Amino acid sequence: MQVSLELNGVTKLFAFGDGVREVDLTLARGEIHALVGLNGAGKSTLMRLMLGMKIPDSGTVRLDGVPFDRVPLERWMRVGHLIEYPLAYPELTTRQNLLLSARLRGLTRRKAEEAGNAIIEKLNLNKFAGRRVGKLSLGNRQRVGLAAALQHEPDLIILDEPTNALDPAGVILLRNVLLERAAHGATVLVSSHHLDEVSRISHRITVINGGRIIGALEPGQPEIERAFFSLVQTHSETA
Amino acid sequence: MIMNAFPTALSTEWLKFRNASLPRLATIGIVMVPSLVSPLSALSQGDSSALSASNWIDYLDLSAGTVATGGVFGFGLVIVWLFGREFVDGTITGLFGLPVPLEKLALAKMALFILWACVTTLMLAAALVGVGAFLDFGPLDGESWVALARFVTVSVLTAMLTIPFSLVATLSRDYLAPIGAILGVVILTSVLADAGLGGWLPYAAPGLWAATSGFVDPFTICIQLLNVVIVSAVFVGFSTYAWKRLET
Repeated sequence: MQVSLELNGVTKLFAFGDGVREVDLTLARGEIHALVGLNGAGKSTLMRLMLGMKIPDSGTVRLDGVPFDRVPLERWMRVGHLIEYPLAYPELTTRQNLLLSARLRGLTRRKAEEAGNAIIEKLNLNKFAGRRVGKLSLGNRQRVGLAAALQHEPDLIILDEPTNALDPAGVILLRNVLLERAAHGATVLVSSHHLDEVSRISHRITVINGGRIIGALEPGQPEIERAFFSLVQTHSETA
Repeated sequence: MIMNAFPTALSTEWLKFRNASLPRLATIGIVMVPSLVSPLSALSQGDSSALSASNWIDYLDLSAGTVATGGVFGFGLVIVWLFGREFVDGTITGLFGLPVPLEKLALAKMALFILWACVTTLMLAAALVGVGAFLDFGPLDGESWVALARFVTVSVLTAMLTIPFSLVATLSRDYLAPIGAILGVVILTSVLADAGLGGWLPYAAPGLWAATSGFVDPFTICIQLLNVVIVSAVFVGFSTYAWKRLET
């Protein structure tokens, strides 16, 4: 297993004791890794720690074996993420938003336009390409945000509940793009409440509860929801 | 490949800026309001009033006084929007984990704001000259050009004085606190200036300079205006540092 991103003993605590505690987690190349847990379990916090949005109180985050604070800026050109809100400005059209995010990822203008055209096709955004994002539905805005995160063909993809607000067609399109990226060796981490969906596409499923990693689920296993709740309940009772 | 982060940050900030409504409305407001208000107030007063203007110098200094107060709100709204919108719209999370670091984005916002303020000031100056010509003040002579330069300086310095509100927007992650801070600073400056601190208050210095039509000790006014530049520069540093250390 080729490790792409690694967390060792990572702790980040907030007021009232929320946060994540002593988390060890590795993300491997070519794998889709799902992070599942109840609301407030610590999924988003963990993802934010992986992207530098939060600094851990203790523990280390390594990207390609390099400690986080020493990761060269160019490495971020090959990362794509969507955490909570899409990087999509309401005053810009879909195409302008894609150009903006591709440029921020370091693509030249010409390559950014090519990447934008390609992802517009892949995520079926043609109809909305010239429309201002502020006029789009929540689901289509999410699709623009996903397009922005994926268009530059990143080799590390971190998506927090990416299927939020997506219609079934959007879910299938996203699934295809993620499977394709993983097949090309990309590391993919997604958090989700949709256990059936993550079970269908993931290579590994990690369960988080109360800020701690409490176990794993087998992708494709029958009765996955029952297994998830059993893990969570056991942990909650022993905690 | 090492990308050139600052030009990239500047070009993306410009893309957002030129497509958004607020900077456009602010530009129109800043150019239109003094162009209309100054001549109207000048013409509506008797010759004995302090607001009376029958020549270029009085008219331009009166306009500079209008900009020194109203401009804090006009320019302030734009800088608050530039920094606060990333938090209010939630786009800030998308600006992490990029090869363009956050402090470069903050610097690009600052650079764009200062450039826009300079261009808007020149547009306003041109509009005022047009209105002044319509009011038949005659040709611009040497002293009038000095008054025009004073007006441009006052307007640009007023814009620079709104830079600290970018830090308030960053720390509060909202629009309300920085707008409240603008109101608070304007009121506090007015009170303290009346209490005798006058031009030594950075927020009062440009307006008071305009009110004297330049008839002040050149050394004193240079120091007072330099204070304005120093305050602005210090807050460029503070805001940039706040973005560098940002967590969300």
